[in-house]
Amino acid sequence: MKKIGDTISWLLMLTVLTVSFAGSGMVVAQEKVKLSYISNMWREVAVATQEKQLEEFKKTHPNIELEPTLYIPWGDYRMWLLKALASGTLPDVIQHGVEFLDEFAQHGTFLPLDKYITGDHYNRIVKIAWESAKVEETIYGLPHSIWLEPAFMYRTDIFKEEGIEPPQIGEAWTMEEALSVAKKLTKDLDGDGEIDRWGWVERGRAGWIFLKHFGWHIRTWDGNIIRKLPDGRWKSGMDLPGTRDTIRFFIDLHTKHKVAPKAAIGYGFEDWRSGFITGKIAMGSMGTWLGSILYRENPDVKWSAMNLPSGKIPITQIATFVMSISSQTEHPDEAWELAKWLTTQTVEDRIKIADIQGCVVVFKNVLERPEYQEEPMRAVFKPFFQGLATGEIENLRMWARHPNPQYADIMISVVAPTVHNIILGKMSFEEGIEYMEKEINKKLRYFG
Amino acid sequence: MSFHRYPLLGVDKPFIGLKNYIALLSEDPYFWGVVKNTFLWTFVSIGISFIFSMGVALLLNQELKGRNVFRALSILPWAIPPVVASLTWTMFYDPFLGLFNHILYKLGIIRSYHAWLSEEATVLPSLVLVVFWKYNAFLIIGLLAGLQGIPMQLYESAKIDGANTVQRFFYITLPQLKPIILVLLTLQIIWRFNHFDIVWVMTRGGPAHLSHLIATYAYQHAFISLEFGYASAIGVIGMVFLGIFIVILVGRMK
Repeated sequence: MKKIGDTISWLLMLTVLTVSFAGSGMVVAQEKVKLSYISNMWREVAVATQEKQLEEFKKTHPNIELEPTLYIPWGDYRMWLLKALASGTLPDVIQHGVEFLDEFAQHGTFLPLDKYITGDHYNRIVKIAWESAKVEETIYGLPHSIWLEPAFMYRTDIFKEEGIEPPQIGEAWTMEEALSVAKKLTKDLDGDGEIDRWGWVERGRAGWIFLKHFGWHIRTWDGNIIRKLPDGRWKSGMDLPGTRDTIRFFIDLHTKHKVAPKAAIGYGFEDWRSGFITGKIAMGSMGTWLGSILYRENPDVKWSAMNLPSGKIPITQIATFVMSISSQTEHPDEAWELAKWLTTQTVEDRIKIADIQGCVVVFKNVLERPEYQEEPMRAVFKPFFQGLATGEIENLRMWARHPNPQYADIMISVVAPTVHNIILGKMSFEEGIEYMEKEINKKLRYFG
Repeated sequence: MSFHRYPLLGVDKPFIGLKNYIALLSEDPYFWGVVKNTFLWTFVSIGISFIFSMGVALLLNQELKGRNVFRALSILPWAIPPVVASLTWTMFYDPFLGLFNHILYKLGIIRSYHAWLSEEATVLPSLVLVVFWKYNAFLIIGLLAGLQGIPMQLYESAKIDGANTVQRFFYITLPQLKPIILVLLTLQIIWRFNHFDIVWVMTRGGPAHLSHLIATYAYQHAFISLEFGYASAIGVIGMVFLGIFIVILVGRMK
């Protein structure tokens, strides 16, 4: 009887112990962390490379489960992030561009990363890239790729044919010099009375395209479409001479000097590209990411890039991709591990993705390598490598740093259609300025 | 929502009464142009589609060799996803490399290449052409079904009485098709009036808001400008316009 009782006791104890271990095993299994991640990989090769990075991350971090979304079209990215922010469904790790940083940092979207970044980490990356990841000295993202937005691209064969010498590396034409060249390049080549080649074409389509290709004009003429008053309120910048000079110059390209067709107000990327590769567009501003595309898809086209022409102040506009962590994440440390992995811990993969996406990486020791600079696919960056590596670029601006969240909307919804209507002759210059002044102030008041 | 100031991320969404409607109807310099675009888009494209589709349906109703193949081919554009069709047509319209320019130039119809989606005179007609190509199939199928339901005895009696082809069409075919035509027209008006995808993908309503429809204009205000109250007001006004047409058409069905 006693033996039976002992056996039962042992069996009970064994059962309890087994269940406890199994239970704790379930707890361990439940402790696996889930991280969501979004990105904007453009091309299949970039997607494949990123997938490889993520697979390797999973192997080295078996406690982390990943839910990646690798392709959200750039045109829809801002809206995607806004909807996610509004609905509380932000991914843990977010790749995005400098153009979103101010707006989303003001909404408290991103986690400050200063506590994670070591001195060594900081020193590996060029200073100008870090500037793109900071809002008021707080770091909100890990920069990893950089490009010019835009550079001034031109057909070298057409330049040679017309006997035009581009400026030396490190120098820039003035706007008047560029305009004079553009007039020389604009031609009716077959004598039928129609212009066959346009000297200076900017993509005009409303949206981010207009923001990029009008935005640098505003900066170089020292204008601003909105400005902050001493009391902290914002108002329209239409009264600034630089703003009016910008709008006047931009419109005159199409109407007075006729070095660009009026139809360019509707040109998207593909329109400009097909004009450039067919020689119908001799020069114009375009993101250096086009260089990567031309290198792969149009190797017969002879082209190069130079600094942007300079109005009142010379400028160079760069753009960066950064990796941020959502302020809503429940796993900040794990999210940091992923962000770090995708940027600084897999440098060769990052170089590959940057090449596909038409960027260069932000790591000093890579940027300084002669073999990195000499690679033909990075030819479009040639005028800029030294400045990028050392940070010594005169009047460097981030293309889309908008201190006011309404800036993008104002450019897209108010400035673009008004400038276009002036070009089409539906409004006079003064009517357009007056309308923009009124509408911009109304929008700034609407959002407080 | 349309009676509020309604930014997406703001906490405050104050009631502002009719201010959105007043701003829209009396201060917005683009809205009435957008309404005009929408009406042109709807009624011109439906008018052209209807005439074309009736012709094709009448042809496909005949005993023709390969009739079934032609019937299948007429549905093909409808089967292509709208975004795919839009992107393909955008390439077709490319100002420098597009096939559309090339064909018209070779035929001597144009003297130089055009930026069909960027020029004021051509942007809306270019988009109408796309929607015409894409959505005829529905009208063709509907009209064909209607034609096949008309008793042959009516035509035979009319022939005996001396009616010619044109008279038979206007006195037999059209009256017999009236119920189905009204249904098709009602559906087409609703769909085309609310159209979004082709315009948004191809032009985003540009250049200079010249190709915006009510739906795309509302979308721009909601999801680009984040002014949901104003966008809702646009939607409500659009709904009122559309409602008037539907009431008229439904009344005629009785």
